[in-house]
Amino acid sequence: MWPSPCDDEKHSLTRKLEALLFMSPQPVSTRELASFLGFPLGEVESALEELSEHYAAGHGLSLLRSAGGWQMATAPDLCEAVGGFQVNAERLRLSRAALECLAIIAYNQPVTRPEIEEIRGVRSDRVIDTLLRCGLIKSAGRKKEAGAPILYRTTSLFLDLFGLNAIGDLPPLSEHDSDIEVVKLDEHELP
Amino acid sequence: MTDAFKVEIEGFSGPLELLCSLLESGELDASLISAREIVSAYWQFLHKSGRTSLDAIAEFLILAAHLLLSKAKALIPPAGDVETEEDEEEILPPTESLLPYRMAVDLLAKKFAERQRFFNRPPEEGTPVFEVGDVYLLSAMWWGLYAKKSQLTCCIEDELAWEGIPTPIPEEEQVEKRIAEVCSILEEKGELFLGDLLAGRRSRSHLVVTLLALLELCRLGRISLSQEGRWSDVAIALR
Repeated sequence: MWPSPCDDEKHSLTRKLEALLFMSPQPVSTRELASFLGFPLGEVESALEELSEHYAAGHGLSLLRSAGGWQMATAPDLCEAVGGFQVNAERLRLSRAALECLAIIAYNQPVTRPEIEEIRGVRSDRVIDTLLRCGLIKSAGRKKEAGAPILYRTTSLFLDLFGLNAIGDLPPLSEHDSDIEVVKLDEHELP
Repeated sequence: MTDAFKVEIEGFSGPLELLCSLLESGELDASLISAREIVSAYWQFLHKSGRTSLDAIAEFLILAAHLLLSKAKALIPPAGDVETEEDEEEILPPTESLLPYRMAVDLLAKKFAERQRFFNRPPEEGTPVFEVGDVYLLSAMWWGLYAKKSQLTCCIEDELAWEGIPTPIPEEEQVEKRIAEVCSILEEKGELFLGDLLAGRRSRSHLVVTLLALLELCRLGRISLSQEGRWSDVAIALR
């Protein structure tokens, strides 16, 4: 049985999407793809979902939802093989202090350095500089208060590197964690 | 001619192209290479040879740029290394205000590790995109350098290098006055370029005050700034 013209059109859309995503080094939003290809948003979204399912079924590639868009990547179970092949690829390594700082910025953005330091209880200028250099945070203007400190926000690279589609994907902050001992500053100050 | 130019430095003797190749592959330590020494040697070589061509000089400049890039990469720690003295802080128990974030840190670490299992096409270098925030940081770095330079000039007389820069940081009044001027020009013309605003007055202090005025207007959402390509003039438009 011959495919209907409608099937042909859908197949053509899927192929075009696959080609565009293959070429793009960063996530591309459904809206951008729909606008570029001249297809309705719903059709593009549905074709992308199908493409994602297709790749999830035992292929060497996968289609990720990341940073508000779609991105083609290698399958996670091949990470050792691909990582070994890409010997010169620089992979980002983050210390716990950097993650701590990122978490504070992610949940409070836009936030200033003094505010971050107040929460952490330690100076954070160097770790903030490192996060800026890595492109995980960016400045978002200045706060209107004494000294006009710079405000910081997370970037779309942060979302991408942490596999988040949007900042709203972060779960609410938990108030208590019984495993962690809290510092009692007054006790520490005792001789 | 450049093919006759040979680099003679400690630990290496040969063509510049080979030196660049060894530096890029990491077989030689780029941080130990003195770019100035090589450029001086090339300059002397040109003097001695008495003839050269634009092509030969261009070729040398390209190789020198490669050499500088290798040196910069060797001197600046890679972006992936976030190994800092903050590690000491990690062993401290968290303060009460930090407690809710500790679980978020664990979650982020887990998500980061999961995402690292996927590899995607690395981004290629394209036209750089600058946001207003970048300009804020640039301004902050600018003034930081200026402050350091001012401290140095207390000890060393250097009249020529910093002529034209005002001794104090431009006062708010100057910036406010410039904001009013820029708004008035924009209302009249609709859109203009940074070059138009600086036409006729090329002093550094005028440039600094104009940039600060533009940044403030941008922050207030009254104007938008755009640039078509690298080094092209900055277009300013009312929002």
